[in-house]
Amino acid sequence: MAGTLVPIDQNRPADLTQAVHFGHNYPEASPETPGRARPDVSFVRKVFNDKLTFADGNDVAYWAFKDPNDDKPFPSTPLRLRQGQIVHTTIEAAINVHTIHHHGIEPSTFNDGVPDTSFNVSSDYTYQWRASRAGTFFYHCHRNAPLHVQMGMFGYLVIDPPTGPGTLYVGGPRYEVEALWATYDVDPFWRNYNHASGEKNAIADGTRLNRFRPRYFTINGVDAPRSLRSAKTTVRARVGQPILLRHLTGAYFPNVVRFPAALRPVVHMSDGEPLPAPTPLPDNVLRTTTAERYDLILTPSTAGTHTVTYEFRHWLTGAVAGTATAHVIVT
Amino acid sequence: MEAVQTDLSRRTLLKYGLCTLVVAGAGGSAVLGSATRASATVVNAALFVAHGERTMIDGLVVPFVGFGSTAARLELPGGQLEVQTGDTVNLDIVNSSSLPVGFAIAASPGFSGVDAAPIAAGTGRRVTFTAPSTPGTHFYVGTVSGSADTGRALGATGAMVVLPRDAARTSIDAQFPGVRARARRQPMFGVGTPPAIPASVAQERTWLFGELNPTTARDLAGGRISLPSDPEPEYFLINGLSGMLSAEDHHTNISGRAGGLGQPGDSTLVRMINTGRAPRSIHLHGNHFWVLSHPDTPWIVGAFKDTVTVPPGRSVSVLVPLEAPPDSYPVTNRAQKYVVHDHIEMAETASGGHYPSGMVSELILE
Ligand SMILES: [Cu+2]
Ligand SMILES: [Cu+2]
Repeated sequence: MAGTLVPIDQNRPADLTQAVHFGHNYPEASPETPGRARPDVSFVRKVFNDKLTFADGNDVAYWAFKDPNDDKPFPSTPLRLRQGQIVHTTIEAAINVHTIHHHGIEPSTFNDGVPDTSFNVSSDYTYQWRASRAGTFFYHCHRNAPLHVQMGMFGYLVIDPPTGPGTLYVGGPRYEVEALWATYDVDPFWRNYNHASGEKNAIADGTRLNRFRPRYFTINGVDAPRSLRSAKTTVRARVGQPILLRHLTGAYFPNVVRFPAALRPVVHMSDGEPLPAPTPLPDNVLRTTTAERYDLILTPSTAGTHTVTYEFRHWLTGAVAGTATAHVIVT
Repeated sequence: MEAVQTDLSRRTLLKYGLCTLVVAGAGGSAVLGSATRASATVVNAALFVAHGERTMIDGLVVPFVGFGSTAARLELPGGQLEVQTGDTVNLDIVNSSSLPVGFAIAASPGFSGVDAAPIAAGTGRRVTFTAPSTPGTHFYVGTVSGSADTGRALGATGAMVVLPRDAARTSIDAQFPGVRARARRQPMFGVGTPPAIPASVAQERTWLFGELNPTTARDLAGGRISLPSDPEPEYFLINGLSGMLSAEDHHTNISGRAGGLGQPGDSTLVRMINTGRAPRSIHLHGNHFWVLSHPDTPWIVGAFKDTVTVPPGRSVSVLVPLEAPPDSYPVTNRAQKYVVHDHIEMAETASGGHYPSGMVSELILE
């Protein structure tokens, strides 16, 4: 049937840029930080690229941010600081233009890292903000965001209360072990695109950033067969010891996260604010979509290896597209 | 035969209805113009079904079947039908399209839903139902060729807002009972009393999310009766618009005066309705929002979040306080502009890219 129908594309105007200039012609700049103040804490994040290798032996390229002294991490080197601090995050964009948006942080527009409302950073810029909340956040590039986030340009942002690590927030629960487990699904085909793919002439160039068909399903870039041997996807604790899981949905496909009952998961926060009440996770299942964070306290009731299973559901059909795993090894 | 069809190009799209109308892209807060209150407990309204055309942000013209409040003017989405709890609602539906079109509202707790049989092309019928017994946000859909999914794919959708009977629509307690008592956030900067949720709202928005695959829409508008297992949508719409159009639409964007740190300004109730197949993960910059209702995850009601899931076919309401952006330094609460967008990033595209020409709008602090 499709073969006899008129292709719908033929009534597209030749010059797409006229109608979609919202996605075009962003300023590229490296300005001074307005109202620059003395920071309580400062970070530098350089853009770099490397490869992730999967259990089937294949690898894919990724782009991310790192502390200049770090090796090549995945996800990006975390940002960690304390509530109340004035923060400087300096992006060093290297050869392409990027931004850093601190997701869940609410700074001035100029410091929000969104090209649509400010600018892309051509060489470097120091984002300035003050941490009003404690909790779990993340940071990511906001340029051509569908592509740049999928390529890996994200990392954790953890804000401890003024007393430091060990307490989730002022008045919140204490913890002794911590896990930062972010879901991340990978479409190898998207590695054929370049930084600017889709920004102009997506139809003509064959760029299809609406077509996300992931083949690898990971926690922190680690797929299920390798997860038991990776420090990125395992934590160790004793029976009864409180473990804080800072969950981040970095995947584009929705996640259904299934916890063993023996971990007794209780949700305390989401998106950097406490829930109305600490909530034992109903049926030990968490349903979450891209960019949400949930902070859970796990209190293992028995010894053994307790595996958390992450389903990645097709965004349109809801069918299980793949699974990833992470593990709490309890002695 | 093939050559003839190829030559038709844009006119191919025009042949489907005798009265093909060009859509006025109304914002979701546009109230259904034909609705009148006949008595204390009765609302009468007229809905006209017709073929029309919608122009996407890149200029692509796509056929659709949808609703209008007059025979001469289609609206996208259909006008917001506002009723009070328990009202008797009489809808006079005139089907000027060439397809059979019914009328449905999904059932939900305390509401048995509406599923009116198809109205034949060129005829009309009165559909009567009793409004839900509790305040809330729903959507109606034209069941095109017998399918609500087809109606959703074509854009035959509009909001239905159920208001409290004897209380102001600005009251959080009247519309979302119990939420203020649950609501909780942490002390700002770790000290003092945490800010509270406002007791009332200064303004409202409705965001009706829809997806569009133009080839599918073309087939369905031409009378194809089942959805193919079609490829990904190409357009991702808020109130029928996307990209800079939904960002600049004053029915869609949130614009107002901000309060100070932890102090609400022109706090805004946002009714989010997802008519698409995918869930939405709606993220607001500049402010967190209070979750006022959630169909799947009742335990986040009363939480102060920055990203929320809107499941397919369901609605979620939130309150944006319009407080000063709490992490700004120096603190600023004037002349700021932030994006709000679906964080399932494929939905930020139009025709395969052109970020952010999909589901995006703005929060503007005047
Ligand atoms: Cu980037
Ligand atoms: Cu984000």
